Amino acid sequence: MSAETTIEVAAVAAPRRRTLPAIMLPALGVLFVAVFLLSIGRGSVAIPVDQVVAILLGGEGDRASWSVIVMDVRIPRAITAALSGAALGVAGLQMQTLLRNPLADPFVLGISSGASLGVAVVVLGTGSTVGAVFGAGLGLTGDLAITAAAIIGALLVLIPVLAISARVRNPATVLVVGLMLGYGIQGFVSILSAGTSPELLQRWMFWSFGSFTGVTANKLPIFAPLIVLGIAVAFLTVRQLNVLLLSENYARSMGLNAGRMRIATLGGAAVLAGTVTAFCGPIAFLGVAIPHIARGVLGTSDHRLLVPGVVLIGAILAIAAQMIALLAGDGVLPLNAVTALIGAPVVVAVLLRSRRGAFVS
Amino acid sequence: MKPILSTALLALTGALVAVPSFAQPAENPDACLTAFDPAADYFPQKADVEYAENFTVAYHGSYKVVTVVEPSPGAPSETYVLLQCGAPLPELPAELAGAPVIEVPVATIHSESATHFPMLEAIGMIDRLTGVSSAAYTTTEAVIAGAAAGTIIEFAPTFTIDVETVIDGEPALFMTGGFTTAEHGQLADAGIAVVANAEWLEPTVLGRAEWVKYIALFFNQEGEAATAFDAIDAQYAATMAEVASLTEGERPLVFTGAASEGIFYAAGGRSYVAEMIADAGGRYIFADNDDTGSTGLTDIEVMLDEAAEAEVWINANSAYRTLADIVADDPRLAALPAAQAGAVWNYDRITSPGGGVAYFDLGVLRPDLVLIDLVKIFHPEVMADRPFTFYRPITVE
Amino acid sequence: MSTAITLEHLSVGYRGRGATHAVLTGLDLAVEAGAFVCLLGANGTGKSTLLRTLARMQKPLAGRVLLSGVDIRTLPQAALARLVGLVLTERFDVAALDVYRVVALGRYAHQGWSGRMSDADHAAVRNALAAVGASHLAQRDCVELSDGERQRVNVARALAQEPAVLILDEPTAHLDAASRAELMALLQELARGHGLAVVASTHDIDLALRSADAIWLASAGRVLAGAPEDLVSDGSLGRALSTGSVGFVPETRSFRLWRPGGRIARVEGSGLPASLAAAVLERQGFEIVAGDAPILVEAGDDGAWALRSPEGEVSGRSWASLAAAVRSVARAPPP
Repeated sequence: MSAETTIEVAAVAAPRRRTLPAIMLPALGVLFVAVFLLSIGRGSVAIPVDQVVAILLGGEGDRASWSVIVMDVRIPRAITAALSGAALGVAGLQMQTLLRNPLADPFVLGISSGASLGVAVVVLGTGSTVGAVFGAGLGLTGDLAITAAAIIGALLVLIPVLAISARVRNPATVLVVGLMLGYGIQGFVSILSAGTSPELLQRWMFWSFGSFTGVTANKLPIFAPLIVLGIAVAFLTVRQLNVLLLSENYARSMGLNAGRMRIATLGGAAVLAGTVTAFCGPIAFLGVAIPHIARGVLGTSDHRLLVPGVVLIGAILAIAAQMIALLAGDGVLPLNAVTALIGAPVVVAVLLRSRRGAFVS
Repeated sequence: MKPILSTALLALTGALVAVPSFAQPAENPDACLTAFDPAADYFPQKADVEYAENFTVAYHGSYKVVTVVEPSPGAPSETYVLLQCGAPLPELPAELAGAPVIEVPVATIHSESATHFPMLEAIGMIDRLTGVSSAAYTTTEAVIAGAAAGTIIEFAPTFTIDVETVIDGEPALFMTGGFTTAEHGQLADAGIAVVANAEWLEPTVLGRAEWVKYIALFFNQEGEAATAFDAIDAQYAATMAEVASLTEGERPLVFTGAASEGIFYAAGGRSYVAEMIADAGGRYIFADNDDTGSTGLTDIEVMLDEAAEAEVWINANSAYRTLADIVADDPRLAALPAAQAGAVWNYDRITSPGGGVAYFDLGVLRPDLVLIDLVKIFHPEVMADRPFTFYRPITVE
Repeated sequence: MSTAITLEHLSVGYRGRGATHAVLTGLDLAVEAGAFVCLLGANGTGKSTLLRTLARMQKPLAGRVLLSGVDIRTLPQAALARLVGLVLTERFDVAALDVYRVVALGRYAHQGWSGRMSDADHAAVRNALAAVGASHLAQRDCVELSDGERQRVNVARALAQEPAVLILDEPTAHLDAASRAELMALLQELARGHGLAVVASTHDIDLALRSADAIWLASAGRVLAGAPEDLVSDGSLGRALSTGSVGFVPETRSFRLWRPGGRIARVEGSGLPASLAAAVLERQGFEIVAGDAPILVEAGDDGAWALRSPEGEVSGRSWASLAAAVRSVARAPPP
């Protein structure tokens, strides 16, 4: 599970390939720290670096608002982005391996849409009392209600997608089914939203843009443990994910209890996708892109290296996307626009390459 | 909810009564001509447009030529010929060859925007309204009651015009909300007179309110509209005068808008809100911004920085009732001085059961009442005897 | 020798909605440790179904399967994996995973919760690679392998499980002729040298009859088991594998196409020239007989040939010219 173990294995197994992950994983760790610090140092308000450092060391900035910005905006946002990116990457990796589909991820397969439906039912469907949660909030209770609804919604889509993928071998077909499920749910959400107030609708629209800034320090105690729990499932099942690389039949023949593994992975991916969607909105395409980038960077499909790699690359990419959204234009770009620009080319590249049988048979 | 609403409406009625009453015209403007005199002027009361820039009207004996300069953002101008009912079709100049000819006064109207209803009420023509896009978001009681009784149909409850419903409703006039959609073309093809109402593209609040005169053109109610608008104009000017002499230091720093998921949505520096903050004796944090609508998506960092010294926060979030609500939503916003001081105001004192907010419909016709509210918020000692119409503060326990 | 695989009154097939569809029934068979069994049968006779049932990938309709004396239904998945290694027809391609790691996946059922590779694990992987002669491939990426190499690696992966039983579903499919022969020799060696019970289905009858200790012949809902030579000599192989137009020739242990209205010919000569001359004639639809025939080809040891027919006699020195002569004779109307 630890990097130590994996590197030791690599040393015995494959001296030629050992070098790449052995260098890349620590390098990614360094890059993550750098990007994380950069995102705390740079934002839409220009705060001098020495001021940021002083604030981080517990001092006061020249302007009182700067302390608030660094401590209450930038740090929670960086943590949220890092956790969300890691979560989406891990969920994408789990689904790509479990479904043996290089294009699978929570967004593409409609799992994020399912989570959105859960959120919509709570926010738009139940009328004004709970609906107020979305804006002003019932605080903890409201956040928990929305998160639980999102996870249930994610599961409600994951289960049929998994059932369909068991019957249909063609990855593209599973993908189309996922897209259709997503569209169906969007339609349902539209119907739900027809009777709601314009103000709520506007908030819904903002939420669907995706944002890591909405998770404030007081929400992190719900958000972070759920993400850590979901990612822990992946770390604890790297061996199982590895044997699933060949095929589910081979995995069984090598001793995998596939049913139990499926439930664990399903639950973990639903918690990850549901939690991120509940707090940050449906984030497009990061989940599908991160595992492929990780495979490329680390040069391996071994999950003992891939899972930590995906966590780091996901965190880095999400923070980078957040910074691009903040700094690229005048004002804020919708986060989903940035993540789509990052993720869509990866999906296209995978589609074009998959003819050569790079990942699936 | 209900008692609060009716109390609020009572207060509102009181405010309306304060405006000089609208006189009934001497002759019946509804009557069609039975005999035609080419030399006669059939429109003795003429609209005199002072502020509005997005429509023009010219009178020609038995017809008026009305032009909407920008009927929808970026759209080319549209011209309509409004012909006195009973008059023969005149020889029109070549440039008006393709213009729709609409017989006035119109007997019935369908309207896409709740902002039209208070204007129709002001000129005494609300009973001509037979169709609305949705009765859910209006606070005009006559419309809510009419929709409930079935005398007013709802033709776009899900935001898309149901063309068949409109055609079946046979309105003499269909007035848009200032956005051109494909359905408008279908309605025009079906022989329904579709006219634009792009009041929201006016640069000033008084120009926008003056569109009451535009609506009146179709009912030959120019006199009523002038009476109503003059009172609004006068009260706006009088209210402005109350705070005109304040020094810069006496004008509080103000910010607007609501944060959603850490993204802030504030009024632009050229918006109606910014204009009225200035007119009400306030300073707006984004006064230098060039946006006419909103500032677009703004990161919460910028907001926290700019609003760090602001004393008043208006147009926040209708879900905010107490400071605790702001804390629960986003503690970063709750920590702002304006929030800590309880100087957070929302414009939802009057709402309808369907979620309508009077600020958005009545407030368009009555910028004078909005301005009075803002003056009272910024300068509680000024006009202390006047009631609030649209705004309510949060409570701090 | 102990019994590695026992089939008791086994029926295999599929459970449909309400009804069951039995494919093979009444199987009472056993495989000793160290034995190599080839499962033969035409397509659709239930070879894969039987192998899947042996590996517990599907449930039997009746009866039971014992591996090393244990009913497989009672085994946890990992314990089963330590008893039986499986090579399936589904091809696996995993990019960016070297051969060593693929084979090491076979250690899954032996590893503890942490997944740490012990010395024993590494030894098992190395032994498995050595056993299939793929040690030199250890650091190659799987997608770079040839089909034959990949199949060897796949066998090594199953061997890394250190099973008592190896089950392979058509392992020689998609392989070239040399790789097929090598793989069958490898399976034979794994049985002989490593004491494994190996069961492989195949369509390579000739290779199977040469390498297998026993043949299981699936046909018409039953499985006939026996030594290869017994099944050849009693004709059951011929009956099971022949169809209306293709016949199994026991002597050559190969198939021949029957042609309607075939004509007969006789070949005189010996050795390679005689068999090549016979091959030329058969290709043109003649059946070679020992007795008198209207067509006679004399094949000399020096490669010269002479053809006698009712039309006369021709002769030549190359097989191509014989083929041309046979064609012209074949076109002539039969007397």
